[in-house]
Amino acid sequence: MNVVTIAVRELRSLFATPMGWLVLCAWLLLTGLFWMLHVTTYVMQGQEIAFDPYGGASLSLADGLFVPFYGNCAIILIIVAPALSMRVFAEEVKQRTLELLMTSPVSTLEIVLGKYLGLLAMVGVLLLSTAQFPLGLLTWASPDPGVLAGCYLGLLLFGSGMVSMGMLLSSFTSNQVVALVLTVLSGLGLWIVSWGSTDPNDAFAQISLTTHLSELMRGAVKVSDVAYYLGFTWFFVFATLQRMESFRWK
Amino acid sequence: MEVKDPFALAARVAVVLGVGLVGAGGLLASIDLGEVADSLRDTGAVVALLGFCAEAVRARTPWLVLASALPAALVAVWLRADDSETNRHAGLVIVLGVPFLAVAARQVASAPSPGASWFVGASGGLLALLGLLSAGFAQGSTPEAVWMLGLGGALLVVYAVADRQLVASVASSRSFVYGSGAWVLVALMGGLCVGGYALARRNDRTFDLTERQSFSLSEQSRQIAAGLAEPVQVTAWFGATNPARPAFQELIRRFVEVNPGKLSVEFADPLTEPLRAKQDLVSGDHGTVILRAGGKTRRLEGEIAEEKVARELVLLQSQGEHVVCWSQGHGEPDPDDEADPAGFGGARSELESLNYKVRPLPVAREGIPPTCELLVVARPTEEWFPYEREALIAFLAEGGRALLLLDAMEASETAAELERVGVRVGSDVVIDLDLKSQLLGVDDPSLLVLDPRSGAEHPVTRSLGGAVILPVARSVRAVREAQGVRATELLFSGPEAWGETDPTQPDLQPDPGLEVIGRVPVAVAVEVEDPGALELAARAPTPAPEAEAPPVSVPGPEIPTAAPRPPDTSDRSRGVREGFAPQPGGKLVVVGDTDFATSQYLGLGNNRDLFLNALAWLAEEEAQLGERPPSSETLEISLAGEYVLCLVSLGVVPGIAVFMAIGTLVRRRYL
Repeated sequence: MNVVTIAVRELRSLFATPMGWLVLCAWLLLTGLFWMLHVTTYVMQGQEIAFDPYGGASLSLADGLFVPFYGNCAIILIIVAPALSMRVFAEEVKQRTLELLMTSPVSTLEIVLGKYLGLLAMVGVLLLSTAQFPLGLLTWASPDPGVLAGCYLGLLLFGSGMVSMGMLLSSFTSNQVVALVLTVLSGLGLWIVSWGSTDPNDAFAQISLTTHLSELMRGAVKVSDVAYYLGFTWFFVFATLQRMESFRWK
Repeated sequence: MEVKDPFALAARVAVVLGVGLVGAGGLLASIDLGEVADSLRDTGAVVALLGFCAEAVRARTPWLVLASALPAALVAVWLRADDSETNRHAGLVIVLGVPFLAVAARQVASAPSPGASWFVGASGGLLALLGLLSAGFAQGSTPEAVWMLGLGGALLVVYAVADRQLVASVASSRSFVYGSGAWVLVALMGGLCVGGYALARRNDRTFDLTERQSFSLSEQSRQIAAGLAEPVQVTAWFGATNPARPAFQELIRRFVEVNPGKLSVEFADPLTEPLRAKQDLVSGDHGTVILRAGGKTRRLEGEIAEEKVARELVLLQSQGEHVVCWSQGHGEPDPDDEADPAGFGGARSELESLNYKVRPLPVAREGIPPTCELLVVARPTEEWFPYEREALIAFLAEGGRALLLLDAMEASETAAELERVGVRVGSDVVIDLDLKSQLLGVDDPSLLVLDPRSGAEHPVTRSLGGAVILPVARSVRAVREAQGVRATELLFSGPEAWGETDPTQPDLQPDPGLEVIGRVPVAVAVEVEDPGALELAARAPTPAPEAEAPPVSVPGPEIPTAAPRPPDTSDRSRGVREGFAPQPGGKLVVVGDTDFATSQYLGLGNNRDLFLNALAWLAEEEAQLGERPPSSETLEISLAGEYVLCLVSLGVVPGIAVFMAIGTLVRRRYL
């Protein structure tokens, strides 16, 4: 129950100031821009295929529109998620309210989980706000709900990993900008680590965030991909818990 | 923080930096950047030694330089002269280890202030970390990683001894006790998460959420995999870095999942097992799959898709082969001729790869025996005799299967015979002036590009995803009023086309009432449901042979004998064989073009698939007929629609967020 209370409080605090709404606005503008670019490109591709007798069945909404669009959303999340998580503990340290928090009759685990769930809820709000895009297409097409479900599940898991990593890095510094930069750099590093890898089974490809997102976004939910993101998230949540516990005995 | 002795600090930093460079060189060496690695290691060793010397002089212990750094350097240079890796590593261990040991001995003897030996610990930690990274990059222990980890660990121990008071006080501090416990817990949790992921990978399953079930096997493939009679061993020759390997791994995993008892898979690398690859006739890493069962072997190469794997499993299990009789004697090209691009050598090769055995059949001499499972008549330029035409109809009436490829303006009388089985072959050339229906870059209105979805859904055309290209086709229509047969038109031209009966005229225009105009059919599939309705010519009873008188030997002049009479080719009944027994089930496919199946055009568009699908349907090989590919999902949004989308996506919804931001600001400031 404390976990839920802390999570709700965290979510409310994000929207209690204009900053939360402006972050949402920036997210909507960026994703909206990408959406229109992808839709326009897809419409043009369809027109080209109509005149090309060799085109065959090569155009699908999933591969031609949704996967590229939501892939771009993931890249935007690499910057937005750290912007949400940067203040979680850094601000507490800076404002010296961390001691108050740690001495409250709430366990460290509840604090960490509550804050994580609050951030996850915010990521959920961001993702939910993009539902207007495929819904707006219903007039002209029938998007595959399975593919959409895969895209949103993939992005939610991806965002979950990013905010948990951001939460840990935020706990190491009182400077929000430092926390933001460290998280963004870490996220980008985990994004590009597989670029030089030629073997999809090697270590670099396996630790990369992109490797586990691509199949999810096509509607193929693999147990290993879900296990990767859950393990990734839990590792950083656990590490944050240990970091928070260290404040008690320091 | 005030630095008491900047010179000593700089010297110690130089030592750590030098050790770091050596470690970085070792790391680069583990990823095969040998030349850069050597330079880094040599530079690092020199920097570290200079740092040692500077530190020793500053600490007023110049004997350290003479007793350790210089001899170590000389030994290292001597070992370095021999270019072996072992000596190089030994040299590095000596040039770094000996001075460090000397420093540690000095620290122990002189009891300096706590933390003075920090550079020993920092060097050891850095070297050990780089050693770990080196092992990680090389994905296993290498000599580089071993000596770096070993020396780094040793330096950490040396530091613990040299600065034991500080180490002891830190180790017994609350922060260290709880902190190290926390680090151990985090490391254990990390190990658990990695282990959980590895377990998930080993027992991976995919849940396909897509409507089209794009990541699941089709029902047909599942049935084929489940119905395997014999165990099948699959050897997949893919290199570790072959980009097609993961996709095939996933594909074959789905097949194995259906029938793990009968299907086993082994992945092999042609680069690491060249001898074995050579035995399997695998050269290079192009992705080759060998399937073995019951002494038979099939191979797959190139782009390997689910349909191909399913087809090979079927072919592996099939007991016999289909006999395809290829008609000869009416100007048909020889199917054995592989050199002629206008011949059918390519088609023959394709058939033989699918267990079809091609046998030339001189119809005029042998008729069409029941042993012919399939009959192919490809490009007859001369008319068939009436009795031959009757033999063809009789063959169909007895359940026979035939594929007829008829060129425009050729063998028109023979073609006209097909009206009896529901097919009307036009004496025309299909012309299409619509640019969309013409081959790009070819200015020839008789070369047709057809959409395989233009006709009713039929097994022959169902799986064709792309265009079929027919150079110079004639119209082929279904005769609706034909009795006892069901005829389906398979392929149509575009709506602007027509069947031109006089293609030599300069001004090509359709003649309404005389010519077939708009959506001209060019291929028909027929199923004989009631052979009795085909009205074959009755075979005349064979007269009994007359009793012959014994020969009389009478000498006399020789009587010239008359030349034997030519057979009566107009006697249709000759085409109906003795023992004729009509039965339903006969099938016929007629295509108004032969060029699409020649070697020159077979590889164009979906021509090969059309040819093979027609034969597979005739032979009732359902497994060789693929599933209908998904149709293209195009978006046709008007300009107004795009404006609305744009307005909502970039204006309305973000505007709501801005409005809420302003509202929050006002509320916080004024309420």
